[in-house]
Parts: sequence; C-alpha cells; structure tokens
Amino acid sequence: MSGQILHAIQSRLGKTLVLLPPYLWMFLFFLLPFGFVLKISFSEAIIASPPFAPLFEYDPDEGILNAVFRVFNYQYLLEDSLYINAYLGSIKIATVSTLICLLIGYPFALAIARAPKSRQPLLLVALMLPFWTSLLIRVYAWIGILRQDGVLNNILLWVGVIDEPLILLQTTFATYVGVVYAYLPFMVLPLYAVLEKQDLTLLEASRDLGASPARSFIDVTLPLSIPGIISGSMLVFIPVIGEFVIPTLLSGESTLMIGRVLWTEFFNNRDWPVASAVAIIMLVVLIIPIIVFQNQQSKQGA
Amino acid sequence: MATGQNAEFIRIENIVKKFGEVTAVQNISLNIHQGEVFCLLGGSGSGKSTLLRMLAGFDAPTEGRIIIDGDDISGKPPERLPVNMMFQSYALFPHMTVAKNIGYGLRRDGVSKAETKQRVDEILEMVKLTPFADRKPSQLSGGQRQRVALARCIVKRPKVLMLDEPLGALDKKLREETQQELLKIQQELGLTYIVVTHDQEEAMTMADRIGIMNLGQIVQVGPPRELYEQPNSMFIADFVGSLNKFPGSVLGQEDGRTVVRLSEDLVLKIETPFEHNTGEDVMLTTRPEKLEVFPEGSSDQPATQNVVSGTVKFVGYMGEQTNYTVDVGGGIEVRVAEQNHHMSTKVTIARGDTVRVAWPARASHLFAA
Repeated sequence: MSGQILHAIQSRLGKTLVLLPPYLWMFLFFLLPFGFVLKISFSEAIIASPPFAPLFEYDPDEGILNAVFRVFNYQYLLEDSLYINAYLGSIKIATVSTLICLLIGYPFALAIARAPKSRQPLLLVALMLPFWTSLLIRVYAWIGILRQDGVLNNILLWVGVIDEPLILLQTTFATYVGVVYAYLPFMVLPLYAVLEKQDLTLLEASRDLGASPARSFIDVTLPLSIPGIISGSMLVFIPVIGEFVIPTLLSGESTLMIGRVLWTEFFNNRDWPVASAVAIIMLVVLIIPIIVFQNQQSKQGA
Repeated sequence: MATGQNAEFIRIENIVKKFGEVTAVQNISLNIHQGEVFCLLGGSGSGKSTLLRMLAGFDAPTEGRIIIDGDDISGKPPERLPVNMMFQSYALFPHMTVAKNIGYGLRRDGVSKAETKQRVDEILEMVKLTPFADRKPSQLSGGQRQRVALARCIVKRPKVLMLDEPLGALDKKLREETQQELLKIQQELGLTYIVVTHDQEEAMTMADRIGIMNLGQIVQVGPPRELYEQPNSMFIADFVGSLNKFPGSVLGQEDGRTVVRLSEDLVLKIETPFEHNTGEDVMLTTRPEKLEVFPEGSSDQPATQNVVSGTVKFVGYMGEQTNYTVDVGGGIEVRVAEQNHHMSTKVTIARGDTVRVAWPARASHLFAA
C-alpha cells in the first residue's frame, strides 16, 4: 500500500521534472522579460539611467508603497497618426507578402511533394540551402541586384526592355522582394508537409467520379491542404509584422513599418516607455492570428 | 444471374502494359458479359491490379484495345468512362460528409442540386445509411465506410462497377454479410461487377466467372466449380483450394482407367479425360476432401477399387471437419479432410491408428510432370 503511494508520488514527481525545464524556459525568457516591457510601458521617460521613472516608490515617511501606472504612452500612440500608420503599413506589407509567398510557394510545395520520393530530400535541401548564409548577407546581395547600376537594371537595359535604369532600391517594392525571398521557405515547408502526406487515391477517386484534373485539385488537394496554408501563412505573417532588417536595408525611409518605429523610439529617441508600449500593442495585434493558428492546430489534433 | 444479355459487353483485346522494361500485363484478351460478376484472381504481381487500373482509365495500355459497350475507352481519362471503382482503401473524401461524398459524382456530371439530393437520399436508404448522412467518414465504422464507398459509385449508375479487394479490410463476420449485400445490389440494379482479389474464397463465393492471373497473363477462365474440379494446369489446381500432389509414372491402361504408380507398393487406377502414354512421368493431384478414411476392422466398406492402408500421423479437429494426415508407406503422406456429419466410429480415429484410405478413381487429376 505504502509502496503504491510512493510509486504514485514518484511518478508525479517524474512528470513534474520533465515538464519543469520548458516551463522554466518560458518563464525566464518570455514571461519575465514581457513583464519588464509591460512595466516600462506604464512608466515615464526621464533623462537618467535607466531612462524611465520607477513604477513603484516607497514612501518611508508614510510607510506605504506608491504605484503609479501611466497610460499616456498608449494614449500618445493612438493620438499620433505616425504609429497607427506604421501598424497599418506593417499589416499591409505582411498580408501582401504572405499572399505572394502563398501564390509562389504552393506550386513549389506541390512540385516537391509530387516529385519521386528519392528526389525529395535533395529538393528540400535546395530549399533550405539559403539558410546556410546569414540573412544580413543575403539582403545585402539584393542591394547589389536592385540598385540603379545593379545586376537587374543592367540586364533590363541590355535586353532593351527599359531605356534608363529603374529606381528599385529605397522603394516599398524592394521590401516586398526581400521579404518574399527571405520568408518563402517558411511557407513552402508546412505546405509540403501537408501535401506530401495526402492520399493520392483520393485524387483518383475524384477523377473516377467525373472530375477533371483541375476540378480534383480544387475539390480535394486544396481543401485538404488548408492546415498547411494556415501554418505557412502564420509563419510568414507573424515575423514579417515586426520585420526590421529587410525594410531598413532595402527601403529606408520610404517604407513605414512598426519594427523601424520601435527601433527609432528605443535607440534614437531613447524613449523606452513609448517603445515598450509600441511593442505591447504589436503583441496584441499578433495575438489575433496566433489564436486562429492555435485553434486550427487543436482542430487538426481532434 | 442473366449473363446472356451481351456476352461481349466488355472486350479486352490483346492488352499489353509495360512499365519501362517490366511487362506487367502481357497480351490479355477477355470478354466480360453484361450483368455478371467477373473476378480477377491472382497473387501480388500477377498483373490483376494493372488490368483493373487500365479498365478504370488510370493507366493507358501500351498495346491493344478495351471496348466497353461498343466504346473504345483506351486512352480516355477516367472522368469520361462509364466505369466506377470502389477502392480498396475506400478513398472517401475525409473533408466531406457522407451525403456530400455520395453526391460528389452526380454534381461533377452536372446533375442539378435537387436531383442530386433526391438520388443521394434514395441510395442512402438502400445502403441503410440515412441516419449517417451528415457524418464525416472518420466517424463511421469500417463496414459503414465500405457502404458509403459502394453508394458513391452506384449512385452514378455506372455500366461497370469495379471492386478492388472489396472485403479485404473487413473482419470475417462482416465479410459474409457485406458480400451478400454487394451481390443483392448487383442483382437489383443489373450491374456488371469486376472484382479484383487475391483471396480465392472471396472470388469463389462472389463470382459467376473467375479469371485466374499469373505473371501478367490469364491462365484459366471459368465458373468457380470448373476451376476447382477441372483445373487446366498444375498451377490452377495448386492455386485454388488445398491439394495432395505426388509424382508418379503411368504403367498403362486398364478398363479405361489409367494405372499410375506412386511408389513400390502404391498403385492407383485413375479416371481422367486425357490420354496418357505408358511410361510418362506425371503429377497426380487429389483434393483432401475427395478421400475418405476407415478405421481398420470397421464394418463400413469403401466403395472403390483403390484402397490404401496407412498409419495416422496427425489428426486436426476443426469443428466442421477433421483433417487427417496418413502415412501410406514409401515416404508418401496423404492429407484427408472429412466433414464431421457422420457421428460414427470415425471420431475414434487417433494418431498412430492403422486406417484404410478410400481413393475413388475420379478423385484425381494427372498433369504432365
């Protein structure tokens, strides 16, 4: 009897020990820093180090702890159209980029999934090969391609499509190019995973029942790949919202995205509380698609 | 079943299918009658599935033609054939309800929504799935899924329904039920069935005619009884049912019977429709259930000329039948299967007993060795 109890305790202890590291990790590296940021966002910028006023002040005379939450950082974000425009700009760029990635990535994923089994590993390696080079270097390479005397303009001039070089760099177009290029694999991989698992007899069944190949794709392949479409879209959309490196290098001042605003507030203006508020709102904006994503995942599991 | 309506309903003419260097189907010609259940029986790699896929339009034949009801279908895509297939895995669309699955083919044919609904409802009733119309395939049992797969095909009223291992995924009890259900529907609708299977029991009980395939060719075509009782080759005899096989040589003819010696002491007189020359080496085959065992000294007398003495080496009581293995000397062991309907002295036969084996003259076949 006591042996059983001991065993039960041991097994519970074992489970707790296994689960502890991930929880600890999430607490230390996500929840705790998030708490700091949240705290700073309710503070006031001052010229000091650290550059924000403390939230809690102990008054030794009265013997009480004063806590002052200032919401004016958030108020400021809502009042100044710069921030709202930056959020909207980020959402627009992320949405359009996601759609372009989907349009390019779907045929990509389908082609890999339907390639002979022996060739699929090679194709997947080719897809992931760019990750072996740092993102920064790859984005710099795009500067070489897109600038006025760059590779692309030279080719277009040589072919005779254009008479004078196009201005591609420092435009929003350049950001789209860079973002789609950088995030395409994140769209292709989950799509491939779903398409590769698909039962091809289902396609034969729909053909047998009278559907043309195109109709079979619409009726069978496409609806059964929705989980992959959602996963891929989230994996592109979420990081692109906060993207900083690509728009800064390729588009500069011409493109307003929230990641750059955050950077400017934090490093140029040294306004940590406003920067924190920007970050918190960005998180709230992102929580919506993440919830959609989670819902989809749990539905898949059911 | 009326199989005489059109004896050349499906004409398979000199069909060859090659995959690269491999020939999966070599020069098959075959007629399938309207309204019959025709079964393609063969092991894996015999080419039966390749032939089925060509009939369904998934693969085009390398050579030859397939004509269904006067239409040459070779090279036409599957969506344009008057043929539907019930897949071994059922291949139900997991994202559609039962009703949507069944109505899918009608919608693709341009049947109106209202008519589709009406016809789907009729079929649902027929296969007893009306209460499950709004379920997804994942919420159904194996037998129910099979009925959805069947309903999805027959709702289109195809000229030919192909069934790929239709009972393969079902447990034994459900198999018998489903088989009767399939045949009932076939008769009600006057459909032509082509069944592909590797399971001879399934083939024997369902088919009007069976075509046995081996190495990409059809070895023998005929009704189940004919294949079992009059196999045209050693391969067929061995493939269908269980079999005793003994090498021997022909001693001569006697009273219109062929005398075959299996060993020094074992000489049998066999009735066979074929002539065999004296001295010819042959393979003698006998089905275990054609033989009978009698205990030594029993009052029952075997009513046959060939009676062989031996020792029982093994007794296997199976319920409906008992299997005996009898050592008749000269290194020859004979398997005998007897139905347990006698309730007689035979229940007392045990291992080590001396018995007599009655070997009727018409129980055996001779094949060239």
